[in-house]
Amino acid sequence: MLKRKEGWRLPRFFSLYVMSGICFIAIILFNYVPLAGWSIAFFRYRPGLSFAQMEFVGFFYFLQVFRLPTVWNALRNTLVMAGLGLATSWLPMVFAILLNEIRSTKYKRFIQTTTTLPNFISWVLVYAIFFAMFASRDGMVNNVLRSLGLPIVNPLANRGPGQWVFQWFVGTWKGLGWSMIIYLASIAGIDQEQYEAASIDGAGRFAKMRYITLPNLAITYFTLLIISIGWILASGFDQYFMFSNPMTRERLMVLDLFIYEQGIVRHNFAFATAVGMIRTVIGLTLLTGANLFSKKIRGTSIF
Amino acid sequence: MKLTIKRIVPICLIVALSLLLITACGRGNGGDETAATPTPAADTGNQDQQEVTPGDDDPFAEHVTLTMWHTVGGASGVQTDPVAQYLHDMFNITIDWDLSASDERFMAMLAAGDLPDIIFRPLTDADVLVQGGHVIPLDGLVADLAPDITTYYQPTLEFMRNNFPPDNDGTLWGLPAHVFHAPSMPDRPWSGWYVRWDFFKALGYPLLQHPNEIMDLAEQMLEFQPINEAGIPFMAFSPMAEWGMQFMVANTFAEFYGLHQIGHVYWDIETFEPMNLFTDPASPMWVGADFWQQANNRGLVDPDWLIQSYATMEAKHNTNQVLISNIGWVGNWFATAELLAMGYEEAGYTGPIPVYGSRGFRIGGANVGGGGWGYFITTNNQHPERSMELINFFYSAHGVATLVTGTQWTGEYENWRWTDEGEKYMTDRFIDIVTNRLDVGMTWAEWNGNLKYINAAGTANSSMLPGRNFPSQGSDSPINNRRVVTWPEGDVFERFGGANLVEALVPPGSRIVQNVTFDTAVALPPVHDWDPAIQELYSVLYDLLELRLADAVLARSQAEFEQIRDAAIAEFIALGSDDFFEYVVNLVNETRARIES
Repeated sequence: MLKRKEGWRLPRFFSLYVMSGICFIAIILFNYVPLAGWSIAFFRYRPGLSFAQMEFVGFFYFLQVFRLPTVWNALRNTLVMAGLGLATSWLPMVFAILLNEIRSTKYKRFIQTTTTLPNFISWVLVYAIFFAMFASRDGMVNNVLRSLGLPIVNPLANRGPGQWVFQWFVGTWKGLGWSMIIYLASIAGIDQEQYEAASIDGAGRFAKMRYITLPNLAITYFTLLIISIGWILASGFDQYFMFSNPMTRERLMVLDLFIYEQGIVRHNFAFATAVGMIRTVIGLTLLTGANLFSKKIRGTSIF
Repeated sequence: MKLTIKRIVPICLIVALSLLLITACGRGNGGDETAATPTPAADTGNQDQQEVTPGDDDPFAEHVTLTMWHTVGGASGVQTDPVAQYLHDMFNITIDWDLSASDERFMAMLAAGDLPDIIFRPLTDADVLVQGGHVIPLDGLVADLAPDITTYYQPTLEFMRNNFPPDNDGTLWGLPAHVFHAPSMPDRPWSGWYVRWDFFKALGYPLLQHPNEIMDLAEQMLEFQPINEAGIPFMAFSPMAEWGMQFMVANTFAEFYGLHQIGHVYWDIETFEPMNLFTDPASPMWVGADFWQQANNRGLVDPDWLIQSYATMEAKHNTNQVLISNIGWVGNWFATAELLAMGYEEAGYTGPIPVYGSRGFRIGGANVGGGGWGYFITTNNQHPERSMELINFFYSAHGVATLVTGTQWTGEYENWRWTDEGEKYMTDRFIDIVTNRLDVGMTWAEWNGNLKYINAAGTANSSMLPGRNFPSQGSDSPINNRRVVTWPEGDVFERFGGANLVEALVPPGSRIVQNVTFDTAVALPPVHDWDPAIQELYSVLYDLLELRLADAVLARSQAEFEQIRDAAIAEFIALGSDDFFEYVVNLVNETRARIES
């Protein structure tokens, strides 16, 4: 019998451990270590000074969050935009299902490309496009309306609640195709035998969509929904920064923009950090709550 | 698991990537491959404590790269243009200008202690820079290596020693730029009614008795020529609110009424009486809002004024669509050049047109300049002596002229010469160019560094050069008093006479003043250093003001405007605007007393 050669060997899956270890370290470095920066919310923070040189103010800035009327305005706007997003979060899924039903591959690809493309346009350009379309004086749309003798429209200057709907529309136009991709991938992963069996049973296209595609996509949808609930107070910055002007400021001052203005523009870093902390804690609570709710009702959860 | 090549390669790759990651996260050394061991003075930077050793026989033998934080205007070519090359050749120094100098980035670098070698920052930053130990004292360096600064800027140095930081012990920590030694030619107010001069001329140069009469003039202009060459209707005004409603509505009227905003309170530039901008209906904030609502209701304003960006506004001026601008630089220079390029030889903007009773003509502070910014040398700097020699050049007559006017036009001695008495004069070639060649002038500005480096000069561009009877800006020379850069400016002299544009355009009864308001504004601690409760109040008031000004300018009638204004004033009072006003008035008065003492 041959004797097995003894010697030092690397543990099993060593490469995988190393690779995942690097990711783990990166997460610790860039996602957890910066949390130490939250401490500035408890000081009268001035960049360039050590904590020993700064005045400790306890929860002053946290209490200030609840005193400032502008915070409540920003919270309202954020919740409205998040609400609109959540209420229509099924759109990419439905769009993916409908797109999947198109028989012509060329046409399908054309639709997919044209709807995905806006995702890659920066918000600066998006605003420029909408300005070129809706400027009161010489916007393309308004020139047409004017030539038809119709009243002009300018959603960029809408001061009413319609501004929220307009922003939702712009965001959806930009992101729908991109958001749809994950559902298309999920559809591609559905076992084709299910469709074949359904066909043998006499199921039509709508029946297959309803009883096979939709239930299979529900898992993806609810997972994304739970995650998006966690981000409910982080509605993004770029879109609102670009579209905000004196006419729309009251409707578009969302929390992210508010934090930017307070922290960066006005150098009130401690206050902005306090707002950010509160936002994170609420987001985490919502995420955990939604996850528990899903676990209880549907029996599945993301963690 | 066997250690095979197949496994060794990914492991090595992973290790290499990890090292790269760690290196990338590490702090850089400033990028100076030639950085030598610091000289003794580099340890303290204070010559009172240690002797400076500038170098060997040739102090510039060693090439160094100095990182510099400076918001140079227009970053294009700033590392390689003739001015940068000139500085490199003269000092054997490569300046690594930060081309994306933003306040946000500076704050991050300050928090991390990772500051460039030389920083150009608001002087009020001296407080935190000194407290945090980020900058070195300059007394010794200035005394030993900065002959121009010590010769020509003594009052400025004293001002700095006494005020920055406020509780300073007499040490010199920074050097303010844009100092006005003696005015060469007073600046025109940047905000006022800058008009299409060809239209103004065609209408017989009507002088205004009140700022609001510009609306009547605008209507006359539109009646005189309603559309441009492309068939597009002219707009009388096309302002923008991208920089905030306050900026848009208030500045023009603050200039007209001789008010200076310090600490978000208006101050009379002569009597120094304060005015509450939130609650006084006579403040430029509300007077300006009233003007714009009237102009809007008379159909004189671009309908997209509140949603357009600065770039869009500028483009409209540059394409012959707008007749009047309240921002001087928009029409005054580039739009006029664009019109010339379009073939309009006798067209363009200039101003501000005279308005009787306006008090806006004034010039900057005597000690620190209007900008309130200055140079600091950081503790990260390995070459403080070389840095000081470079900075001294920025404050010398030669340096100021170079930074303000560019090398090609000040380069000794193509365009200027020194007399035996040490005075500078321009060559005929130079006078010919600045007088008759606008196209060359534009190229000069774009190509040669002018406008990029103008803010880097120790002396203001509208001041006389330090120690010389010659203006910083060559084209302002007494030899060429009647500077004619554009057709409208030439016509100004034709119509109104005067030794310079300000004298030509200053309305009867107005006078040019220079006083401590600029210095006070510069020395006032910024809002983020105020009492936190007042900061909170400021935040509430400011946010509300932006909203209410938008409401006010969009009022459909005078009655509605007054209703909105009065309701807003009541809101401000209820929120505590009087407390804010009182706090700021005390703070400003304390600051003023400090700088005057």
